[in-house]
Amino acid sequence: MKNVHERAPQLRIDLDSSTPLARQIADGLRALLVSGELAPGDRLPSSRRLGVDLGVHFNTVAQAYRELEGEGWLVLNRKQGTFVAGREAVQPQASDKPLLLAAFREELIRLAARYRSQGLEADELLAIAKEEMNND
Amino acid sequence: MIEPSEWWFGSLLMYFLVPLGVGALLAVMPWLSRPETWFAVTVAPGFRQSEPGRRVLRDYMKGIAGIILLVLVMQALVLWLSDDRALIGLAHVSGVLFLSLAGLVVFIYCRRQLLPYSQSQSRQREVGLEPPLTARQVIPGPLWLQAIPYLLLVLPMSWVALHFADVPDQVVVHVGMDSVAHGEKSIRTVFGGTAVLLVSLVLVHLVMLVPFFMRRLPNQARRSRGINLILLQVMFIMGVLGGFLAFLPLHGEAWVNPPLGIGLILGGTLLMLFVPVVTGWFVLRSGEPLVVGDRSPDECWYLGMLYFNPEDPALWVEKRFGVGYTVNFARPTAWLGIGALIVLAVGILALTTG
Repeated sequence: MKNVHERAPQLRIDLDSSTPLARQIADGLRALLVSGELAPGDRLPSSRRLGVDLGVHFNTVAQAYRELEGEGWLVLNRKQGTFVAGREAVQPQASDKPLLLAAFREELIRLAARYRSQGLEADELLAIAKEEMNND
Repeated sequence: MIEPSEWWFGSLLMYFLVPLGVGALLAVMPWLSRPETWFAVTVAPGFRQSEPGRRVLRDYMKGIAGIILLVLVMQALVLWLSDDRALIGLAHVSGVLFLSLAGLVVFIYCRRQLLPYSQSQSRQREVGLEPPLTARQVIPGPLWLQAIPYLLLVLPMSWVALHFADVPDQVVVHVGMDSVAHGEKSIRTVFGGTAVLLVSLVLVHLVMLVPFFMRRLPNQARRSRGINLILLQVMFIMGVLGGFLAFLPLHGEAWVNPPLGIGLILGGTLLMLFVPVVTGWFVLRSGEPLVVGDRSPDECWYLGMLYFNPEDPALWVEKRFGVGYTVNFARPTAWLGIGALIVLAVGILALTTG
């Protein structure tokens, strides 16, 4: 029998991180959605179930689910559960693009600074960034 | 000193076998835990073989051996010096109770010795977003297999109900150390004991559903299936024992007296105690140890047995030693469940004792 744990998408959080837990869960799920590991129609665990598995309050998971629902990634149905939506590729308006890119740059600078302050080299970070972008 | 008789042979056997059996269970208890825990404390891989790990085990075994010896000597002395059966019975019951409590004290002492070696639980959490567990994954065998223990109990009960007129006016209700084995014939005395077993059977069966509500950890499906296999075995033993007890009102003392009656009752009870232990031994060893622990911090396990963690949303957690589940006492639902069980127990008591 094939082990379900080997093929199921994995969600990771860090209880000691300064990033709020709901944000970590939303970010983790978004990464799985963008990479296609979670495909349209896939069913997600209920917020209560995921809360128990992660050891966090179910409202924290529900908050993350609502955030992703707002972005069009998830469909939340009280009776049927939470599903990945068939989301169309988003095309930002021309006027929004410079703002989005500037926000990404700012976030990247902060992220790189955090890890460079812990001794990692810029080349190493760049290699990982390229690898991840190419995987997409 | 009481002269041994045929009946007393069986009782005397139980008199010494029960403390020895309880002692044996206490002796194997440390190994009935997941590989990453030792005396209900999360430890590093290979810790059990280290000098501190072995030292604590030696202390534990010495303690348990001493308590068993003390209880056996105490019981032998009472048996030798007294011919008061009530006193002998009291010595038997209090001996087993003392053995269990003292064993627990030794266990807690050993746990305290190990707490400085406790490995803190990982604060990194990783879960698989797999679909919910299915019945096929966690419940062993087909549905009809789970129905057999009920049939083993209900068919003899039905047979006795059909032949209720043949049941003598005096029936075997309880067989104590004082050899009193009679009760007035009534629905309660004839079916009370087996009805309690039937309710217990349903409760054991319900525990099989716990994996659907508990935290999923790596290998959870396989481990839960293993635990359910033990529960199924217990249900079968309960069914056989219950079926035998159901026939007692019809066949009376002939079925209770040695060798058949005592053999079946003793054998069934011993099976009920040791089959789960032996199976549990293998179940707990199957699969990889949980490297990051079970997400229930050691400091939230009081006496190594009671889990109280308000920060953990999980209601059900796997026990730290022994096989099975316990509840997070910080969850109000746990107290509601305990309240419901107390109401059920009091209800059964009220119905069976009038």
